[in-house]
Amino acid sequence: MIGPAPATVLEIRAASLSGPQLQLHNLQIQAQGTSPRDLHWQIQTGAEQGSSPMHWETLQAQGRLRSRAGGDEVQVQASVQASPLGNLQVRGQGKVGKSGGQLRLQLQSQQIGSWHAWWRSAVQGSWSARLMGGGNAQYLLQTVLPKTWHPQGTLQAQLTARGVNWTRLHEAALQASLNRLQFSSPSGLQAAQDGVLHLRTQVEQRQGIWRGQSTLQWRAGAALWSPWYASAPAAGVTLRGNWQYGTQDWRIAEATLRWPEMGQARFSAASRASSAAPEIHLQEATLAVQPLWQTWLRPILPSSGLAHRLEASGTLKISGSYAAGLDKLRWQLEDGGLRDPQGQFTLQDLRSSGTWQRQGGDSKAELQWLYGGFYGIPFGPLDAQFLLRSHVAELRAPAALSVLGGRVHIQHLQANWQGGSPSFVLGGGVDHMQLGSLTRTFGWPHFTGTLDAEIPQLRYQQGTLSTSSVMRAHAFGGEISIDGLSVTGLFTPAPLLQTSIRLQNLQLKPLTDVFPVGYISGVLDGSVQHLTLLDWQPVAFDARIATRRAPGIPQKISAAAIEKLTKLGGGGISGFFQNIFLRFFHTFSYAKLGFGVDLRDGVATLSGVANAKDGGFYLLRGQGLPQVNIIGYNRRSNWQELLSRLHAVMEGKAQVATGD
Amino acid sequence: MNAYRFRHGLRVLLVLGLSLTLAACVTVNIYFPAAAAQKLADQVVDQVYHAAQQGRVDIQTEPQAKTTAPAASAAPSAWHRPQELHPGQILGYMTNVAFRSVSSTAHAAANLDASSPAVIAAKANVENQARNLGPYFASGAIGYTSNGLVAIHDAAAVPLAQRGALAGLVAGYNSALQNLYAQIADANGHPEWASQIQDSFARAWIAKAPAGYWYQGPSGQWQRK
Repeated sequence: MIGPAPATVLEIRAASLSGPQLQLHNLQIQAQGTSPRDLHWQIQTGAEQGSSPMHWETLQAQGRLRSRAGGDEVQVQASVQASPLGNLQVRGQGKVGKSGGQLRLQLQSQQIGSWHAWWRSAVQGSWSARLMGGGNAQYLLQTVLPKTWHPQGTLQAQLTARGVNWTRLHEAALQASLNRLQFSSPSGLQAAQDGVLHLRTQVEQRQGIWRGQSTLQWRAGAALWSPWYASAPAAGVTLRGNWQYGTQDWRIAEATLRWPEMGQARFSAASRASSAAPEIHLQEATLAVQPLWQTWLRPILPSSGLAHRLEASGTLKISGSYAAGLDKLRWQLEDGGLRDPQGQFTLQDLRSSGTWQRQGGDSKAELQWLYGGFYGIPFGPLDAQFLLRSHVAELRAPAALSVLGGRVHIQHLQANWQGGSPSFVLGGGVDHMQLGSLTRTFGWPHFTGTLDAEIPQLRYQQGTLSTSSVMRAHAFGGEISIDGLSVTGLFTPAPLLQTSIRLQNLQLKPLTDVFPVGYISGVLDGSVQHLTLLDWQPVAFDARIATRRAPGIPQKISAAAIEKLTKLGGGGISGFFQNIFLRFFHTFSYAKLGFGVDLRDGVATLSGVANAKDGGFYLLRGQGLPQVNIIGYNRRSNWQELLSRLHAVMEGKAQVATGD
Repeated sequence: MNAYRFRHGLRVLLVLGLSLTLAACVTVNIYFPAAAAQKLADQVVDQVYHAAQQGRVDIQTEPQAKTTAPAASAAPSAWHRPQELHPGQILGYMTNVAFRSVSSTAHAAANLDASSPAVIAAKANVENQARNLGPYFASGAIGYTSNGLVAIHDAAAVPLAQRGALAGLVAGYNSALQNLYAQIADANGHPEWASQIQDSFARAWIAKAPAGYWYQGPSGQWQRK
């Protein structure tokens, strides 16, 4: 009698085994069975820890291999310690027969969760497979983001794939959801919170080229990529497109981006191996300006100043292309508006359209608005045409806008934004601007009249508005020259204006017609040197104003003017003078009228047209009979007090408290 | 006798001339008034912290006190001529002047003035931005550096929605601070003092910071006030 065949044991041991990207040690393989058709096998090995993706601490696997009439069966159970996917448990079973084969696997680890894989092949070599499961997405995220960003999230996915032979994937479909996505860079300036992303893609491969259609949805959460921050709208942000990937290039075609409340864009992109940067073509984007400005444009503007405060509105349609920098742009803005919540600047019913290209010559643009305001000064409509070059915009034809009953005309304007620092130079003038409205706006002592001025060159650069030439205004029959004007910190809490003003041939009669100081005739010259306005209030200047004899122009002053000038000087005229003397003489001749004021540190130092006895100074030197002189004795005065006197004189109040 | 007086007078004149020549070489150095700068920095920093706390910007155009540093020694005047001096006193005085002129340079006191309009405008700008940065300082997201500027300490201390503006706010505030230091130096006629003024402010920002504010020590480590 022959007993059962004894079990055959095959054991292979190796202290070390090296291969590409892999180094095993203490390898032990054992197979045993009573027949080659039914074998139990076992593998144990360790692997060197290294940078290779195929590393682990220990691997233990066992299984059974059986051959039957219908085909061969294999069972696998493996445990891998300290692999890149953590402690991994694998269970599987497969079957290979004449009609093909199939394999089922279950993978589980704390790092990747639980996954089920299924694979089936036909004899011809065609195959299909499915992978589904979910779990921790940390490992996957760390392949995309730096480990120091500590990315976290969970992943649910289902992948189906089909191949025409053993080595080639023919088509695949993937649905994946990434939930509770969060990460933060060490600086904290790149971060995400509670993100939910959903990806659906279908792909097929033909002749070595992958083609696919993908939809990516950002459904929830917030993301920060300093300086930009955005939270997902309730309806989510959807990016959809067709794409193609080859060995030499990739391209995205017919892509659409829908961002509820902001708008949508159609674009395509391509990258060729020969070119370093991808080319992006924006076919058309229709965008609401308010969220576009708030989310994408305002964060890149300086954090202080007007631009950062502005609120924008309107509808913008743009198209263009990008290749290592913005290349071409076409836009159309409708129903636009800009508004400073602090009221320093506003533009309403703004429209603009045009094209721009980085290279290739001039292109055209137009800009229109219906009305606006600047520091509370309203201005009217503008219709301007521009020529655009790489970093320059230039006015094609003179433009004008109505301001304070007059007109500001712009003869030439050139704006430049090279180096990221915008600047402009303009030349033009002001025609018949109503001074009364201007003085009311700035809270200055009220006077009326019109202003005409030439502005040969006004320049804006790095927050400073300045003129390198003399601006001339014509008022009261004479000329007012403004030299060396500069305004720094425009739209900041404390704008600083510095200039010098020269007055020539100002006719006192029309001047006193609009300044309610009483009748004075004559010709006035003067200067205000080193004038400094802080927050539009004068804080320093050296002013000298005096009359000059002019042929044919009498130098007369009324009693009322004398009284007001006296009050301005801090004094008063006695009741006796008013009642007796002025009753008979309404006007008086004078030889010279004038004064000087030097303002420093809130103190005004006064002077006159000549020195008088006892330390006094003449504000008015009379001539002939009856003769009236006004002599001041208080050479120093508090500026605020002097201003209140001036206000009182302008308002025609009877008495001014001097504080003396 | 006349010849003696002539020779004596000639000798006195010679010594006098030599002394005057030497005295003309006196160099008056205006040293950086460290004490005055610190006093001014303390005053401005107090105002900025106060304005930030009150949530308003104070554009003060009224005259402000000028701070004066104690002088190391008074500047000698080469042209000051005391009354009723006899030749010996003149000689002694001139010798003294001459000695000082060749042995060392003179020292002079300097005022620091923060009342110029440009400084007031710069300070108002700092106050305005400090007001916006108040919550970021309080949460520890930003702090003062040891060189009188600000830096991000812990961006994660503020919610994600507020974090986007953080880098821009810090850059803007640093620009405003540097402008303030430069304007103070310019207003006092010594643009080269800007870095020393910045150092004075650095000490003041940290010394006067409210409790809970973060700041960098000299070696760069962050500390909480």
